[in-house]
Amino acid sequence: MYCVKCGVKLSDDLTVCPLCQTKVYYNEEQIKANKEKKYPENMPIKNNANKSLASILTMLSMLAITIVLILCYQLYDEIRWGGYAIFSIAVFYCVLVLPLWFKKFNPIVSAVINHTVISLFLLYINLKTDGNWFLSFALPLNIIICINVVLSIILIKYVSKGGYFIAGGIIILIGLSSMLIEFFQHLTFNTRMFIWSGYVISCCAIFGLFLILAGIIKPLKNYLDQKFFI
Amino acid sequence: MNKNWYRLDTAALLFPAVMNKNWSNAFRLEATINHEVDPFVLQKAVDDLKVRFPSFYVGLRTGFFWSYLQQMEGTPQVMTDFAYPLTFMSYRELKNCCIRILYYKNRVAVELFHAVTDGTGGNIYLCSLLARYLEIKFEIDIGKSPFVVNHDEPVTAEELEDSFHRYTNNYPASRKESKSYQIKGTKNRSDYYTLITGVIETERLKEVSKNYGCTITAFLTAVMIESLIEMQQQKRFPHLQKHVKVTIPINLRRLYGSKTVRNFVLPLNVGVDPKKGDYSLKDLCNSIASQLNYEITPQNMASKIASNVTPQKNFLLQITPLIFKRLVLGAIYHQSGVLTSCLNISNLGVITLPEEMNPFVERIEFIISPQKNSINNCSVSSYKKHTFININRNIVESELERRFFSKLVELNIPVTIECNRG
Repeated sequence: MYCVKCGVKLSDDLTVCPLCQTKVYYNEEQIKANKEKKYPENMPIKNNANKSLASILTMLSMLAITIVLILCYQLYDEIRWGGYAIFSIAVFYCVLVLPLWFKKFNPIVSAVINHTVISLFLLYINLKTDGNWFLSFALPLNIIICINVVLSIILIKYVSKGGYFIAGGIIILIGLSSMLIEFFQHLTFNTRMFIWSGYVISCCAIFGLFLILAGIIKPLKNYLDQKFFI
Repeated sequence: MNKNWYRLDTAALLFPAVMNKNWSNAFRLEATINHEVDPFVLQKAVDDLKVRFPSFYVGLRTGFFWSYLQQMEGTPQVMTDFAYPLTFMSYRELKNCCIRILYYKNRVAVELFHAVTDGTGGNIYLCSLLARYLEIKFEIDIGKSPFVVNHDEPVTAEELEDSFHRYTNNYPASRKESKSYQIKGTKNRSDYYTLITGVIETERLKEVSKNYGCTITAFLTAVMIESLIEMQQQKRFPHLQKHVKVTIPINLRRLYGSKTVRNFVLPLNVGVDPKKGDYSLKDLCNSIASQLNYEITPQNMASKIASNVTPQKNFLLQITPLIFKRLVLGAIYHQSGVLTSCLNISNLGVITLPEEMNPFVERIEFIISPQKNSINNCSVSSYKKHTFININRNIVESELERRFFSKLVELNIPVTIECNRG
């Protein structure tokens, strides 16, 4: 069969000319005869999990924790500063090593785990230093950041269109969060309200609205696409 | 004790440095035979060639200063072919083995990471593998040919040498070159390649090339450049037109008589500046043929080799850790390898097999993967009466292929088109 547009002869298994996408029409008998495909369907198995590196880093982390514990008990007969070191290693492990164990690690799960570990670390510091800032400041702050991160991931990962609206929305959300953070700071440390969050909100609002406008105005969007593509 | 690792040859130094998570520089040679492939016999043939091709059964390893090839303990396992040619070879896979031996129905394919060998070396391996396969399967004796080596013969030192070091001179050529027009398009959603094969009668192609006063390689390059010029004219203003250049890998074995089965090719960029005026196909053929004639001399090529070999002898560079070398090599590759040409046209030439093999082997094809940042690549091989032109791409649009093959049809060269995606 020849392609009427390109003039090339097409092999029997082709139903569309691969050069110009013109459809080729066969009768039923020909279709039956042409069913043999040139390549099979199987794909190579992709293994993105880096288990050897993960196991080395796990062993190193465990070694570091053991050394810290031995040192603390030999020197002071109690954990003392070792707790900070152990929690730091735990945060490092959850952020960097844990994803290596999995082929695909869901970023939302990762964000929640990371923030939980960080919250526990902060709780430990709070208890150790007899501070009264965890429940009224550190925990809400961490939850606000976690919600921001999770929302951003959901918008970026699962909403394919409207990049400018998403970016604008996220930036405005960050601005609003800063006011909430300052409110908890005011509750805990008795500082004045609206000292710094006003600046953050106004900057974020201007930039966020600009991006939303860019999403609405096509020429501006094209100009920005052209200048700042990655 | 025999040495069980190899330094990378001069050309191969580049490939591990520039590969990334989605792209590895590999090529594929495939042969279609007249019966369904017997995987057990094929595996036996692969095992038998281990002693004859020690530099092929290797894994890519990383040293502190250089990467190297570590000989495998066993032999590669034959596998059924994948859904598309040249699927990505990961670091993990390359660490174990740099070669894939694939079969599907009546096709045997060999996919090789470029650090191991070049197209000619790979073709010698494929033909020798086929010869051994047929010897076992049908208990026949197969004679010699330039592309078939006997699995019983001992390996010579010359076959394993880095010939670049032997044929260099002390006058490195400059790497400075003007940038070339680059094709752009919509990337495929996943990392598969679309392969379009044009099958042409070699006699007819030779006749037309002769009418234009040049070789088949120069003629096909001229047709490709004409297509690229048209594409650029459609997309860019006349005063913004860039040079249109194509890379032709030159097989240096023919020039120097080397017998190495490792890399011994040099890329040569040829092309024209469309700003200087309009070019007819005849003008392009003349221009490309004279550029090739001027450049491909032992002296000029030795200078080009020297520009790759000389930096390796620099002591400071030698003691620089590999991680920094990779950064430098990546930058050099981008500047002098990627930006200076649109695509590669790699012509393996006419493949002749011993008479005993001809009834069994129907076609031999050569396929190269698109380069890191360019989106098309073209490879050519001729066997028996046909020439197979494979254009591989990682974008959706097939404009280049359409223009190229339509031009051949307009020149009264009948083309049969095949595609890996029906």
